[in-house]
Amino acid sequence: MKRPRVAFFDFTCCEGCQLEVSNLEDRLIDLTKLVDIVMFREVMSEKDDTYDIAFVEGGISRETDIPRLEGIRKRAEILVAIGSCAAIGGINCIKNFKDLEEVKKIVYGRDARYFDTILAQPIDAVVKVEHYLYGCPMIKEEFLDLITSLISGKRPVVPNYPVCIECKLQENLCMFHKGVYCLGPITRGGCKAICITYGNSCEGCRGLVDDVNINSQTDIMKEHGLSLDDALSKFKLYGGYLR
Amino acid sequence: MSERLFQTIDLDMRPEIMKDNNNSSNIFRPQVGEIIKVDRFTNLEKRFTIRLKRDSLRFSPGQFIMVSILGIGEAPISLSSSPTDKGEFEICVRKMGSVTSYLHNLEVGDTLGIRGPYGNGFPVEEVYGKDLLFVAGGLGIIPLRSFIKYSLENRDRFNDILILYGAKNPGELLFVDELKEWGNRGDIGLKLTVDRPDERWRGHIGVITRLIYSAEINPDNTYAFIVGPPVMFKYVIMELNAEGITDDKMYLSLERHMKCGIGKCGHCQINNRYVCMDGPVFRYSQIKNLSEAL
Amino acid sequence: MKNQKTIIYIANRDEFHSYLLSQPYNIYAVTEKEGRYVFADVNEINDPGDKYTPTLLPPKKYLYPDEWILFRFKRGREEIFEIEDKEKRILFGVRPCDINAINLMDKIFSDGYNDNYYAKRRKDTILIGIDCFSPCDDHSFCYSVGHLDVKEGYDLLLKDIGTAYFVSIGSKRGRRLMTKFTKVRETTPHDIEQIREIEKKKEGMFINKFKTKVDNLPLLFRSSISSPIWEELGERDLGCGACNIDCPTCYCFDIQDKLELNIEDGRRVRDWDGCMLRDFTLVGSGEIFRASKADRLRHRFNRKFHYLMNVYKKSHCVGCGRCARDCLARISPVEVVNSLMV
Repeated sequence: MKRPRVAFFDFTCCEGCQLEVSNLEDRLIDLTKLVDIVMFREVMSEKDDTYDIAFVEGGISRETDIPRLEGIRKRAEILVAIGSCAAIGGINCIKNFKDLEEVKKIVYGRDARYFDTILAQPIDAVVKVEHYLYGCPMIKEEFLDLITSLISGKRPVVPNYPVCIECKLQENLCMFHKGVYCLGPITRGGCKAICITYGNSCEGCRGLVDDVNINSQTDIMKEHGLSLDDALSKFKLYGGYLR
Repeated sequence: MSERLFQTIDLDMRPEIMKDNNNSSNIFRPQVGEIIKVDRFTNLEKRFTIRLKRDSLRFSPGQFIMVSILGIGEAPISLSSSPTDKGEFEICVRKMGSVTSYLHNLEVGDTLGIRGPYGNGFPVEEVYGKDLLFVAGGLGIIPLRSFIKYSLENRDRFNDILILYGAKNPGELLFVDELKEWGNRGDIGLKLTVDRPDERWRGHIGVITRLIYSAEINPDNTYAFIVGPPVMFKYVIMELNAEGITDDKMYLSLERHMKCGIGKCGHCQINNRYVCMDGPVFRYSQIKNLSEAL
Repeated sequence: MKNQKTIIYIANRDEFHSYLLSQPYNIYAVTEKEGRYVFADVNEINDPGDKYTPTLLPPKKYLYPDEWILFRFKRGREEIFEIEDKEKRILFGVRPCDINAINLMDKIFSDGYNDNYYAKRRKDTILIGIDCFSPCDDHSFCYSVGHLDVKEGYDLLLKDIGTAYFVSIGSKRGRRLMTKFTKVRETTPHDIEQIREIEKKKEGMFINKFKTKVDNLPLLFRSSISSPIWEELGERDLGCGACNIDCPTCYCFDIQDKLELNIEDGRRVRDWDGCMLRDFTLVGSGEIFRASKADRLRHRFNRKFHYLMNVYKKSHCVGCGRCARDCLARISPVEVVNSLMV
């Protein structure tokens, strides 16, 4: 079987998702038996513009990002959004709630006029995306599962249950019962509730699960002492880009 | 009080599941089947003729099997051949999910996993001597074909047979060669209809209920077997009721999400019934009061 | 009649614990976690006694675990490798509600097709129960659903009387386990008196929290199919499915194939699933048969108090209260039953 050619790209992001790929360590070798990595700036210097699968990290936040992303889309047969920024907009979208000129000043100070910026958006606001790997960062196992699925002809499984399911499986005490707010009940699972397991509450980095009950979640957060504004700002951390 | 304290226990009253003599065969292990023939019907539907490597599959019309592709998964699929075909059986599959798409790439000689047959099937023997009315919408012809084939092979066991079959367009009709053969037989009735005809279409146009309206049905002796998409059932049942066929003489085969096929996984439940165990064939009077059925 | 007799021992607690720990079994017992309890692999037994509240997950995690590998396989050659599950285990400190739940699961998994996977684990698991003398907390309602008392299913049932256990034997292998343990004595009239005292205190402590008798529940739920209560609860319901995961009698599962990185080897896995989740009834054509949260809640409650109860003549909710304890939207079976009674 011919190995698919795989390339990695990044837009506005921390490159932490790609770092997860390099963190595969010994499994990275096994991965290269399955796919031919032709472009991966974080780990290699070779470059090649012909590829089958493009993994795109990061969100769109500059005008110049758009033609570049469109070019990647044209060359790739399969486009995968990896991580919160690319898949759901993520943290970048916090800036969308402020005036963009003001945002530039906050970030760049006196040099603000040299920089171009637009409203932050996930990549599927610009091009068609075949698959999504959620999370901040994306999860290595889900990345590998996507690759093995694509190669073997299996439809990749995207978890469509909230974080609570896996949190219960880990036998964590509910964050709300500890008096801490948590977005677990409305956030797409698949992360094995890693944050809660290690003592933090869920910030919603994997985006909303289908068919959520935002009203009920908001009521529960209010019951636990958060004002509606507080609750909304929690939702905004990762979920600022809402369609 | 003392009774509770000193309750007497028969130590051999172990739950059935703990007894050593219970059947220990692996309920989830598929048998190996080999594809011996593939026919492409449309862009989306293919027929596969399969033979089990070790055994032959004994089933009755209306039953289903779990088809398994290792590494991809399992899916419930209706058997569409006559149960009298010894040694081999047929399934007809629309390319939809992972398993069915993968199946479409398989060729003669390839192997796959088979569990089953499961489910109850149509009440074939109960309707000996009766008029049979088959109402198939779209893929509904697939499970019905098994019963139709059986009834044609044993034509003298049944009275009048009428087959009504509707599809979206002529290109979506399945088993076209057989349809011609059935149409030419003379000892059964066959009426086809499509929603969207092409230039060559000479048959009926419109919903399947119109075929019922124009058919000659003796309600006292007729049993109806209805399989189709969820929206079809309601209207067909209304039309048949209007023709005088009572609810206890209509049989429906229902589709639900299914993972085990053996009454455990819980997915296919309709109120208190399991489609995999109590169905997939239900007498309409049995389910008409179930809020989740139709 | 040779097997029919009541065998009751008094065993020293600590000595009995050490004895169990020396046996060739993996021992799972109740341990504390963040102020609540879990069943976990232990090196010493420290049961919380009357401080116990139901564990975060019920002991079902040992009898039908999540991510349960059905078999491994090699693709292409259609080779299947069955997995031999060799572990022999003791579950120590299982409360009556959970033993009753296991009794219900024994029936579910053996009815019709006998689930050989469950049967194997059940056979390899010794259940040592601890009886309850007082309600564990406000969320529990075992008495209301007829599951306070446990009559079968355990190998040993202990009544904790401070420094000693009063041991009732429930099976041949329970008896074998006790026969090998020498530091026991038969009960004296004094012991019996002591147990009677404790049992007497228990009376009146457990009350029926339902506004109806448990036997009426199937009829109540059957006649409440179109009650507006379901829509009201659906409005509140988060749809998180935590109640399914927490429940000792929720056993629905999904089956999925998972591939290793070489894409040749893989495993077929049985995962816990939940009827409160949207995709539970999703079919290939995209149709969802229980599309609203109200539909799904109604289904879940009907399974516990109507559908399965009609078949097995026992409430399939054992009243442990785990779902209510952990429900952020505060949906509890007690509230549901009582609001349907209005």
